[in-house]
Amino acid sequence: MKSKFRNSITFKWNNSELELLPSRAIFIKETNELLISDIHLGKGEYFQSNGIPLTNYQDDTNFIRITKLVEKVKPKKLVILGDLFHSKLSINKDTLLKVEKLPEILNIKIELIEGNHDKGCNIKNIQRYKTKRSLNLIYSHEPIKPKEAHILNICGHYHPKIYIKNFKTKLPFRCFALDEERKNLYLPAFGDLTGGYLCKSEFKKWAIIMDNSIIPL
Amino acid sequence: MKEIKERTYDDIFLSFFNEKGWKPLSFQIEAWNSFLKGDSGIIQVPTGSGKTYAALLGPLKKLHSLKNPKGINILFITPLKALSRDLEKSIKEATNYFDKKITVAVRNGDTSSYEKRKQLKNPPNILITTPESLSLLLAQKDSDIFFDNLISIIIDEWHELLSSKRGNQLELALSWLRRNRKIQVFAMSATIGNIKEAARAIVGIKAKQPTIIKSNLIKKIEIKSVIPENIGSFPWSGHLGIRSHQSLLKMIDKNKSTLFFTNTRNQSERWFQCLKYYNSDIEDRIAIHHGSLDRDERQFVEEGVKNGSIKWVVCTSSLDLGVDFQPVDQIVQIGSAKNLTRLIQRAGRSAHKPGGFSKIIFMPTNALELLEVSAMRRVLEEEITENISLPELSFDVLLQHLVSLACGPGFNPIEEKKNIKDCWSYRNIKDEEWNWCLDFLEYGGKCLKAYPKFQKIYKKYPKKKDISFKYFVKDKSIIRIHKFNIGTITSNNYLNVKFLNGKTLGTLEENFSSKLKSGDIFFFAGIMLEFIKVKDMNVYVKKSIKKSALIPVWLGGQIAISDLLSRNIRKEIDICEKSIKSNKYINEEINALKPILTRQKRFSDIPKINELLVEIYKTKKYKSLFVFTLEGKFANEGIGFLWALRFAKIIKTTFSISANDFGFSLTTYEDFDFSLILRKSFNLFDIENLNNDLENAINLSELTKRKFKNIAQISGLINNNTPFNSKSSSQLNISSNLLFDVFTKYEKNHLLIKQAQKEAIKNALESERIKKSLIRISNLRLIINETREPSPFAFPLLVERLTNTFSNETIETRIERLINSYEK
Repeated sequence: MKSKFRNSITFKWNNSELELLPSRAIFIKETNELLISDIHLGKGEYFQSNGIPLTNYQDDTNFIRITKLVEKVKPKKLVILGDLFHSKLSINKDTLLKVEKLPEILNIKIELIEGNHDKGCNIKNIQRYKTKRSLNLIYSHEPIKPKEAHILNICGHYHPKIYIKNFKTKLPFRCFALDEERKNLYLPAFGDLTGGYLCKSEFKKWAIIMDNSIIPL
Repeated sequence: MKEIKERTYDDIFLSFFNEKGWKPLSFQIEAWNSFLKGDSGIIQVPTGSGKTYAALLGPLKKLHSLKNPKGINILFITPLKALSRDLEKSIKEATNYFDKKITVAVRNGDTSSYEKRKQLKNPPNILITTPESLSLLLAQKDSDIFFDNLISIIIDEWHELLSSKRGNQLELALSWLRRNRKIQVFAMSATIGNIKEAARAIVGIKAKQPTIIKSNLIKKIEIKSVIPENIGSFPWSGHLGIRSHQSLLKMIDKNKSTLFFTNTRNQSERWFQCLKYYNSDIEDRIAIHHGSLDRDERQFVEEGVKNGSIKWVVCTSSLDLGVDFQPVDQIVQIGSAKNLTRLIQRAGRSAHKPGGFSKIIFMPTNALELLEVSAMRRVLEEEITENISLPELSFDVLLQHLVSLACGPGFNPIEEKKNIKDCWSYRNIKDEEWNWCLDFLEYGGKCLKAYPKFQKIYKKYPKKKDISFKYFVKDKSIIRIHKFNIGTITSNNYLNVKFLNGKTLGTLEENFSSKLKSGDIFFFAGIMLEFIKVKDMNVYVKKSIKKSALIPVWLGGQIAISDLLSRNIRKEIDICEKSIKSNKYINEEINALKPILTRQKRFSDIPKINELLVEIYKTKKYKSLFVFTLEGKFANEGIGFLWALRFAKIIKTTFSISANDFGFSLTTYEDFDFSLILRKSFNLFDIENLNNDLENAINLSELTKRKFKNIAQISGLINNNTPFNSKSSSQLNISSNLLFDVFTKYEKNHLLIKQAQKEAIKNALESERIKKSLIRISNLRLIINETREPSPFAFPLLVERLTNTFSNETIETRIERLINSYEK
């Protein structure tokens, strides 16, 4: 039996090749761009300041994962599709400094498409956009319906999740999801401390089983 | 003896009773005397035998003699909101007689905020409230002053609170209330086996021996089962019982007032629909009553029964307790009542007069329940009582209590520890556990670096050089969120069901409402409704003429039969086995079961009392093992987990485990070899590593996570029902699963995770019962049968919807298997 588990999956859109990675990212060869979304830095602290003791260790793990990913894929540019921070109220100086130094440490350009959670967060060294066109693609945080037929929207925001089940077992996974009708490709949330929403059954999905395996469904 | 008593109690009680045309019963006299002597304790009598006045008149007299009765003087605590109105009425009857100046008020979740504010400004002498509302009162800034003149606390239906964390919640509140005051506490309870423990929990560890007052009223109960006409077509599993409604309708009288008790709200909605459909002539005299309906709806039904305009009411435990309907002629119990206390209580709703005779009609929902009822009847005849115990060391409830105090009057940790240790269920709290709780609230946890922005409670010193301090909550939004969380010990996330014009019908679990799409039709409060939208915690609906089979499901319907009952079911099965052999008539239930039992015997076996029956059943894809441990659902489930772990230690695999009151099943891939059971060296029954193995088995399952969800809610880690603007609350949304993973990863020995494990093992799976059961079944003769069809005993397990998974395979193997079976 041939295993269905892959290290990455290539999704073709017109002439562009999008590589869906199990490390919760998309790599676009043509432009040498790496896309990730919904990191929610400072989530632990936001909860703490509201009287809920969530640790802030996850932010460190997130930084390590970004660094490893960039070192492995070696893109020219990192595009974050929104919700880099969880809330402007919870950014501590340390975290902010780490983010601002990131382009220098990783030696790449970083761009942020502003997400609903990022409102009011001011960051140096990172260019911000509402949405961005690139090739036949348009990047946004929340899904938008592209006007032209050949354009695909890549977005985050919903933290897509899926249950794989058979007659009695049921397991949840993060996934990439494609709404073919509205032409939205949803990225899974990159942040470790994020929940998710189940996506519609008519979407096409690719489930992330572990850090190094992904399967089409 | 009696003469002495009659001289000592006060004439005022007698004249009150005389005016009503009643005669005081001996237990009432005993209760009055005991109170006037200064005692605290418990009054153990059946419902509807005049217990309210037994407990109330003593405190009333004391109140009457107070010079300056400012603030609350008597607290009357009831487990159910629905009881408050009736209590208020009967209390007012007495206060009007004694002293018209005495004020009485109700405070619970249904009380308007205007009314609540009024009560705080101008407290009534007697306050009727629930454990949740009492906790909320403690969280008021001046709660100390508020309760300053408290002389007595009366707790109604204590046995009802005992089995849940609401009992812990009340215990903690009591410990705070009595800490520096002399308060007499009396609780009322149904007959239970461990009454001494129940009484100790009321008065605290340090108090002198509590009084126990028993009545000599014994209510005779007659149980009559509805025997389905054709047992062959009677379902072997299921819990609705709708199919045999005709047999039930033949047994009941349309002109008699009747309560139909069901076990779940879902079941009550279905039965209501069915009864109305088949009795269209009295359609408008049939009503439904359950805890999720709006207060006005419930009140309307209760009034209707009292004045006779409503004849039949389909209800859940919402009407279990003392709502006083004099004229109930018939009681129907649909599905097993699962324990005797509940059955007796429900039967007690008929002939609701002291010393009366009660009759209950039992409508089985599946064949095996006939066995249960036959066992229950035998136990009733033998007059055995059940034990109901408080959960011990519930840290979530303790944390909630401490935050309540910190929101209100503040607390000093040294003093408070003493109060807490005075509670029965916290008497064994260790210093390190207590300190963990304080750390958790002050710093977020043991590991200080991890929670830099955390501070729920903080130390406040009255003067600069003082060494004694109190903990308070500073942040106003934390106080607000906390107050909304206090009710969560019982509730799930609820949304209001409303018509567009604003009329409220009741509440739905968020889980159910989140699955509704616009235009969906569902049945609720006995009407067909079309779903329009959800907005701000409201589900908007309109009436619909379309039909649908969709009926909301509410959680919390899970109960297992009691230890006492399961022991007797084992006996009952033994009796059955003999009766099949000898063809002797025992009773109508067993007689009706004969065709099924014969079938069971043909396919497999009926286990004798010294035998353990195991069946193996194979399909193309799966193989199932059925083990009939006969221990009650949760203990059976526990043994199921344990066996799953022990099998999987030898051969890596994934099991799905389901359990019911009769046994459990393990289902896995068809290539698994269950003949392992017979291997000598393989000790499935080992009890030496029981706790260790159970813990491992549980950790690999979802059960602990499910328990943790409730704990996280109670201890304020996750919030529900917060009526803030959606933005801030969405940023505070987190799933309990995520918290569970974070805590397990970063903070070993997190007390709340440990509690979840403990609850999963001890409370949910009943580890003591598991241990006893393992010892018992290891001495039984093992019978292993391979069956070609699932036997009548196995079938209910095969179709059981709620299952757990246990696996020690890698995630990839499992997915691969999942996907392969998904494609086929």
